[in-house]
Amino acid sequence: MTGFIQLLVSGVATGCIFGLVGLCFVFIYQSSKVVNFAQGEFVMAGALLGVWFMWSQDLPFWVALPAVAILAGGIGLIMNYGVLAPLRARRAPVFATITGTLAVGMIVTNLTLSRAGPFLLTLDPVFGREPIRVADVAISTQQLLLVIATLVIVLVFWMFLSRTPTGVALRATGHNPTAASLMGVRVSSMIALSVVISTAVSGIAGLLITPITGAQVNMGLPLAMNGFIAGIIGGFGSPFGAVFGGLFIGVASAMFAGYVEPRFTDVAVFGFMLVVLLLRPTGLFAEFER
Amino acid sequence: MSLTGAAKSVPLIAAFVLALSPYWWANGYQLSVATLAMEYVIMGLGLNLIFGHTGRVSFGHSGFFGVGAYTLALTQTEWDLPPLVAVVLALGATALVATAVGIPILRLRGHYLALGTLAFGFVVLSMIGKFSNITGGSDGLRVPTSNLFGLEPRNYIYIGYVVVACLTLYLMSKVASSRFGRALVAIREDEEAARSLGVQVELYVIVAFVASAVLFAAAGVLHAYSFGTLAPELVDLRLNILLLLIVIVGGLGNNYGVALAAVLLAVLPQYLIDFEERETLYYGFALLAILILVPRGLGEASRGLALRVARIVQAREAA
Repeated sequence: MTGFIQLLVSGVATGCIFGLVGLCFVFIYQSSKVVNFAQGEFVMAGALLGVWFMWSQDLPFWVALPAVAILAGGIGLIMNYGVLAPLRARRAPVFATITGTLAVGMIVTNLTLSRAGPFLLTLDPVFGREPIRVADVAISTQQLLLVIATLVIVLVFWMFLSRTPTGVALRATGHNPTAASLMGVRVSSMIALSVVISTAVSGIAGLLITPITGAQVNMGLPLAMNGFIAGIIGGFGSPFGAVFGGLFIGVASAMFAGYVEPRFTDVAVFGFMLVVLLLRPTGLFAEFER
Repeated sequence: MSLTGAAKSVPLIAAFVLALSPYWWANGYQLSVATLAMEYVIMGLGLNLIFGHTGRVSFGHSGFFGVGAYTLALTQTEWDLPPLVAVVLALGATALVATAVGIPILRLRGHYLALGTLAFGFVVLSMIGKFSNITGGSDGLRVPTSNLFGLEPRNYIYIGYVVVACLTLYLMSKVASSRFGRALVAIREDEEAARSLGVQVELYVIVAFVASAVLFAAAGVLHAYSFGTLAPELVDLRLNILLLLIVIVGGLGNNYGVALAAVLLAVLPQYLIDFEERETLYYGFALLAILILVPRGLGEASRGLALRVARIVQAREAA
C-alpha cells in the first residue's frame, strides 16, 4: 500500500509539471492558434537559467524565480515579434509556423548548449533536502512546493481569464479575433501577452522541477511531448483540461513504471493518447475546433 | 501541358539513366551523397503522398524509417532470416504499426495531427534508446552485410536504391493521375465536398498514410543494408522537417518536382562548410529565413512568378 501511495505522490508531482507545460501551450494555442513546439525548450531555459542564478550567482530562490520568469518571458517576446508575427503577417500555412517554433527551439537549445554544456546540473530543494514523512511515505519538500505552485498558478490563471478585462479580452481573441478587434481589442498585443505569459510560466516550471529531475540541455523534448499529450488528452479547448490531462499522465505513467515496465512508459503514454483519441476525439474535456 | 504516348516515359527513363550515372564518374564519397539523394527521393515521394496530395502533415514519418530499418536489422542480428523474408517482415511490421497508429491519429487535424505524429516519432526514438540491449542504443547497430561479386554493399545496393526510387516515381505518377490520387487531392482541398461526392475519406487517408509509411520503411531497409550501421540519429526530427521542406519546395503533389527537390537538398548541403556544433544554430536560422521569406514554398513562388511572366507575355501579344 505504501508503495502505491509513493508512486501516487511522485506521479502527481510529475503530473503537475506535465500539466503546467500542457497549460502553457494550450494557453498560447487558445489565444493565437499557434502551437509552440518549442515549449519544452522554454522549460529547459528556465531550469538552466535558474541554476545559473542560484548556483553561480548565489541568488536566493525568491529572487531567481521572478528573474527566470522575466527572462523566459523575454525570450518568448523575441520569438513572438521575430518569428510568429512576421509569419502571421504573411498568412503562412500551418506547417510554416510549426517549423518556425521548432527552429526557435533548436536555436535556444544550441545557444544554451554552448553556455551551459551538456551535463546534468542540479539544485538543492528550496526548503531543504529532508523529505516530509507521512506514515512510511516520503514526500520531498520540492514535490510539495511543485504541487502547491501548480495549484496557485492554475488559480491565478482562472481568475485572470474569467475575472479580469484583459483575461476576457484574451479569450475573445482566441475565440474570434475579428470580433474581438471590432470590440477594441488589440489582437497582436493579446497574442504577444499570451506568448509571454506562457513562456514565463514554463520557465518557472523549469526552475521548480530542477531540484527533482535536474536540468539538462536536452530535457525539453520529453517534457514537451508529455505536455502536448496532456493537452490532447485534456482537450485543447481548455487549459485546465490540460492540467488534468497532465496529472492523469503523470500518475498513469508512474503506476505503469512501478507495476509493469519502466522502459515502456513513453509508449504507454502515447498509446493512452491513441485510446483517448479513438474514444473521444475531442479530448476528455472540451471541444476541438476544426 | 502534358506529354502523350511514348513521350510520357522519357522523363522517367532519363531520370533512371541519370541516377545510375554515378557509377561512371563518382568516387566513394560522391556515391554516398548520391545514395542519400535516392533515399530522400523515396521518402520525399512517400511524404508527398500523405502531405502533398492529401494535405495531412506528419512530423513523425521518420519514425517509420526507423521501424523499417531496425526491424530489418533485428531480423538479421537476433534471428538469422533470409534477406527476402527479412525485408517483407520489416515492411509488413511497419505497415501494421502505421495502421495501428494511423487510425486514431488521423482523426486529428492541423496542429494536433502535427503534434500526434511528432509524439510518434519521439516514441520510436525513445524505444530505440530504452531498449539499447537489442537496438544498440546510441552506440548503433551493425547489420551483417556481405560482398556480392567482390563489390561492397554500398556499391551494389545503390542499384537497388535507383531501382526503388524510379519505381516509386513511376508508381506515384500513376497514383497521382488515378482516381485514388485525385480523390486524395479532393480530400485536401475540401474534405466535406469530397465526402459528399462519395469519397471514403477515412479509408483513403489511412491507405495513403500506410503506403507512405511503407515507402519510408523501404528506405530504411535499403539504408540498413547499404550503410551497415544504424543509429538513433537517423530517426531524428530534423530528417522529417527536411523532407517536409522537400515536399513543399518541390511543389505539393508534384512528384517530379519533389524528386528534383530531394536530389537538390541532398546534394547542396555538401557544398556548405561543416559547422560542427554550431550546425543546429545555423540550421535553425536558415529554416526561419526560408519560412519567413517564402512561407508557401518555392513551388508557389515560382508558380506565381511564372504566372506573372505569362501575363506579361499575353499583354504584349495582345497589343
